[in-house]
Amino acid sequence: MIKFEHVGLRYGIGPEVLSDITFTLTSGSFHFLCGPSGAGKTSLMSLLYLGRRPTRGTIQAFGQNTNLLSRTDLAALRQNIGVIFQDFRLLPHMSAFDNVALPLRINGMNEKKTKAHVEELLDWVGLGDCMHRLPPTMSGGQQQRIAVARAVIANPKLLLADEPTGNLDDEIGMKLMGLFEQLNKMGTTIVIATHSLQILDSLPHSRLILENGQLHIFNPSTSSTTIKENVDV
Amino acid sequence: MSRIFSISPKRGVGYDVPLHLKLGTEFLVLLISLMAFLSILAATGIVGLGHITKAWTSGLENSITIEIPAANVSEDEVQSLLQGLLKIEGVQKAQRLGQKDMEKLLSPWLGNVSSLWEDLPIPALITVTISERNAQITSKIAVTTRKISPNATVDAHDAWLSDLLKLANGLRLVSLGVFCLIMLVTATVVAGAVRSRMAIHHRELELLHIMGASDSYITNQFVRYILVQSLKGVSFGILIGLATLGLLSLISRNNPGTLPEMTLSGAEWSLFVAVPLLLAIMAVMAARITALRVLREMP
Ligand SMILES: Nc1ncnc2c1ncn2[C@@H]1O[C@H](COP(=O)(O)OP(=O)(O)O)[C@@H](O)[C@H]1O
Ligand SMILES: [Mg+2]
Repeated sequence: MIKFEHVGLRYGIGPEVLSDITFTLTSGSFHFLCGPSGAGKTSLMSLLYLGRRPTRGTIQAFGQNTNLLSRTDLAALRQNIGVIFQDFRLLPHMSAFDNVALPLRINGMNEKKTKAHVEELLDWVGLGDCMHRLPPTMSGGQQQRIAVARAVIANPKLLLADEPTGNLDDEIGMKLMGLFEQLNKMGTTIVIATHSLQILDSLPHSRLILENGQLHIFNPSTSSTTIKENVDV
Repeated sequence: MSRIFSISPKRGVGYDVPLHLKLGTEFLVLLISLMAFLSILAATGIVGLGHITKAWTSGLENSITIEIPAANVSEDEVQSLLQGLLKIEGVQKAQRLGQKDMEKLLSPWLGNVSSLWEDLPIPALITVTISERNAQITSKIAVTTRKISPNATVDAHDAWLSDLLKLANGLRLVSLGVFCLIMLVTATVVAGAVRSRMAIHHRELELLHIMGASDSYITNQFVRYILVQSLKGVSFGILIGLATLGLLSLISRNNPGTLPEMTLSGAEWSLFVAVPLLLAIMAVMAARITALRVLREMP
């Protein structure tokens, strides 16, 4: 589904934040992305959601070499990816409903279908009563549920979450993990950046570990650490 | 695409990027209405000057005046000159200005002068009407006049007519230049407004971009915003423009002679709607091109 080959990323003329990263995300897999703060988790995420072009190497996404794609084609690929940002990035001037509806509107779904979908999902995450409120008037937990709903509404093939449990209490965090598990069982490929040991220890998914710009892969079920090259996880 | 123009009540004014919340929208509307008003004035200048030169020249274009100085006026000479002129091909009429005509011509300067009339040395004036203005006819007239009445002077109005036309055409050119300048300024201001709003809302744009919004989806937000503001501005501009035109024509009707009469044909009236609309189109195009150009800098 996603394949990085010798990918490097630097910001401006700074040092390489990521260097020579090679890995493959197979369809339907579930990964944790971990590493200390500043290791480059958010940067790697931004490459995964095609928000940046790498400074070297190639990224294959959904069977296509993104280096060769036009901006229009890239936009179409991005519609298959849902992202939950560390700081949610909800649009404060839009109601919860409109925030969640945004991906569907961008994909060109008609307003009637959009309304039905959004209302159903907001009910499901327990925000059916406050869908016309503006995000700044809502609690952190509620905002996060809006962010989650917005990320999954368009039924993405790949779901990325950047430290989604960062500022939530453990109980809500674990509930959220349950939701991700459920989505994964329905076929969504999932990558979650986290440094919460509680979460990492409670779930058996493979880990992509970032350290000094390098990526290591650790598979708890086999308890073996492999170093980057040509590992199909 | 249709969604862009149907504003659902739940979405407020319906921008993904909070363009409607930014101060400076009123300024943009004000500026566009001013530009629309000025563009109407410039267009009026172009059309109006055309009317004025036509009015000035149509009476003179096809006429030539011959003057026989007062000291040399003899009735026979005048009559034979008239006969001679009428024989020239292209001359439609040759008439001596009668006493009544002369009185009318002179009265503004001399008052009611019938009593003085006898004592004044009055030159004979002959107005020749020609079918069209060309060098052949005018030179034939000059030759004939010199033969019959050597002291007479022929005034073909050429010199000052062409000066006047040069002036009028120069002014029209200036109006056209002003008009183009207005378009350019409007486009520049709109481009700047779009650029600054895109900078202010960079994070929102980036978010839409990450969600897979195409350039045209994002651009349409700005195009729609600028379209709405320009239509507002242009409407104000047209209103002010029409009020001004109405005022001018009122003045010219109540004080004949101070201003050239400005009667506009239907096609010209529609021009005064079309010109500001052109301005609005210009604004929208500037918005679109600017937005697309800025977006192209995103990955
Ligand atoms: N937009 C940026 N411009 C310049 N440097 C950046 C930018 N984003 C991140 N960095 C740098 O890249 C490194 C990795 O950051 P980040 O990807 O945010 O790590 P993490 O998410 O693991 O904490 C840090 O040193 C950070 O300073
Ligand atoms: Mg981070």
